Amino acid sequence: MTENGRATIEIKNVAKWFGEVVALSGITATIQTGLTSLLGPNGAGKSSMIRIICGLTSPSQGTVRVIGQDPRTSVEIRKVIGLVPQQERLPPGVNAVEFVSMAAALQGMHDPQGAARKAIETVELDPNDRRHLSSYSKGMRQRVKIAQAIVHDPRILILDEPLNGLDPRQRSRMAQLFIRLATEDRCVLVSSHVLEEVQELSSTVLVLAEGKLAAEGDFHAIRQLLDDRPHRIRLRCSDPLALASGLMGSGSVSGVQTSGDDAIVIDTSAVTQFRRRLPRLTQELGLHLLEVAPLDDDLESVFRYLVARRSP
Amino acid sequence: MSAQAQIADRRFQHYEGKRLGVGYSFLRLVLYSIGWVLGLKRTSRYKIIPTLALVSVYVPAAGFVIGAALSPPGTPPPPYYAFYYFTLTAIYIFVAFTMPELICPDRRHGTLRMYMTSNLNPAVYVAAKVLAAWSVLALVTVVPVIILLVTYSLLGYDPGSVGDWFKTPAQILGAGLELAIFYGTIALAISSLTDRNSFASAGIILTFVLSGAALGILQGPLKAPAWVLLVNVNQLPAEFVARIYQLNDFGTGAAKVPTWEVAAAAAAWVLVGLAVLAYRYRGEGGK
Repeated sequence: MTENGRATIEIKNVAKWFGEVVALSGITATIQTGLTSLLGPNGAGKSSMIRIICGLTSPSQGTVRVIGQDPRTSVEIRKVIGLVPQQERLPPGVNAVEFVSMAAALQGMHDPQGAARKAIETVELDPNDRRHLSSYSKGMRQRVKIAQAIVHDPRILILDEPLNGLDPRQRSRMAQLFIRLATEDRCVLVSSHVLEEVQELSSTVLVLAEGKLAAEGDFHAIRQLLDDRPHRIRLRCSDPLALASGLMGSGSVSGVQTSGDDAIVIDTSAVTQFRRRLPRLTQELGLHLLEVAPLDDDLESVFRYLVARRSP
Repeated sequence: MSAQAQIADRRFQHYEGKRLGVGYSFLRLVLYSIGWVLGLKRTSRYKIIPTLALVSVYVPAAGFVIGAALSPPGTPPPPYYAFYYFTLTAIYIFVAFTMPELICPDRRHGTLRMYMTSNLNPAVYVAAKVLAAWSVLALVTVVPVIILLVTYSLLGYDPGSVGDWFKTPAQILGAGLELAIFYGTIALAISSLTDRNSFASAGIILTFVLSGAALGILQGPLKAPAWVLLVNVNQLPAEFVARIYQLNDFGTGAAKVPTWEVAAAAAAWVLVGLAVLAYRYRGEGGK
């Protein structure tokens, strides 16, 4: 335990490489009790980070301490970590209680079945449901995976892309579950590659991109940071030159280029102001706006921007 | 507030109860794995192959017992080793279709990571799976022959001397366990190379078939020396059974190969299998 008795994960200058491929580079972060989201595009190094935190692999450089101990060498740490792996499949031909009981037995729980039933109730499933896991919906299967991860009452719960593929309603219910688990004096780490997925968690966020820590802090502050970055947007309208002239005059864009006969591409660092100004301007000029297409709004470019911003 | 009244503590309470050690988790994984491959507590489709394999092994054993019971007085019953002449093919099939089920789904369904964040580490996991494999195979290589021993004894075909009373059970256990350990380890090693049961089953069958076919070609048209038997994973364990029962050979034509070489080769194959397993799981967890 740390001095104040709260479970923490301390990551210091961690790097991980596989041959020539650098998966993680110079990551330093502290994860406290409560809910933290690990955000980053596919291939950003989230799963490598999770494997290192769980002690499933060792960092090539740097140190990780889970409640002050090395997860790679401390057997005791296993008792405080629960992992929900990314894989969606679950063993066929078994029901939830059987599956979670096995997890409880492997964790050395004295009464595996009792612990399994309690964990299944915690994730709001019915422990008396005898149906096999193969007949469960995706959301239910995710809950079973969470039940197996919390069956031994871990202080640290790590969920690798748990919201993947869930519909908005399921995602919302799952987010509420994570928030509740985090309030039970746990450190809950949720990884995701979709910014909007973690929005509902309103958590502390660590953003990984290209193996580096791109941003960390409060979700809303990072959201703001993303909105404030330079944007490039393609606009199609009935008179693109008039629109270009109007936008330059408004001060909400920093550059304009023509793109074909009916389109312009603008650069702006004040996207919120631009969004407010654009409809008013087209109305004032009597233009028909045909298309507004962000050209660099995919997560990859967002994360790249964050990485570049942090680089010296 | 009255003296009897109290406010219940509704805050979340962490589990502070007893936690058992690695030995308990190891045992639970062994028992769970045995039940899993035999289809216990699973739907009917998972019981079909184990049931067919068990039937195809226990029916010949029952035939032996019936034959011994109906044979005229003074006629010796079929020898114990003859049981393997009738059942080796069924044992191969059992091995090929059940051993992959022990480890492939753990990788495929992601439960391996779950195991590695529990009391288990790769060495304990592999040890549990190997022990489960040997135990399951002992059901078809040891138990039927022990049943034969008990039934023969009940029918009056006791081992002859005091020495035989020790030697015969030792031969039965030795031969049966040798087959279980050899086939179980090799099949698990092959299965560890993939996370798909079907690929693993095909790999096991091909290894046995190709190994047997290669030996046939080498020893037939190519007149290879008898020691090539030692690289034949199909015939080597059966040959070792013959030596345990003090026969010249198991119909493999390898009588010239010394018994110690047969034993050493079988042990080497098992060690290779264990090394493959250790290599394949070395990166999973690390304690």
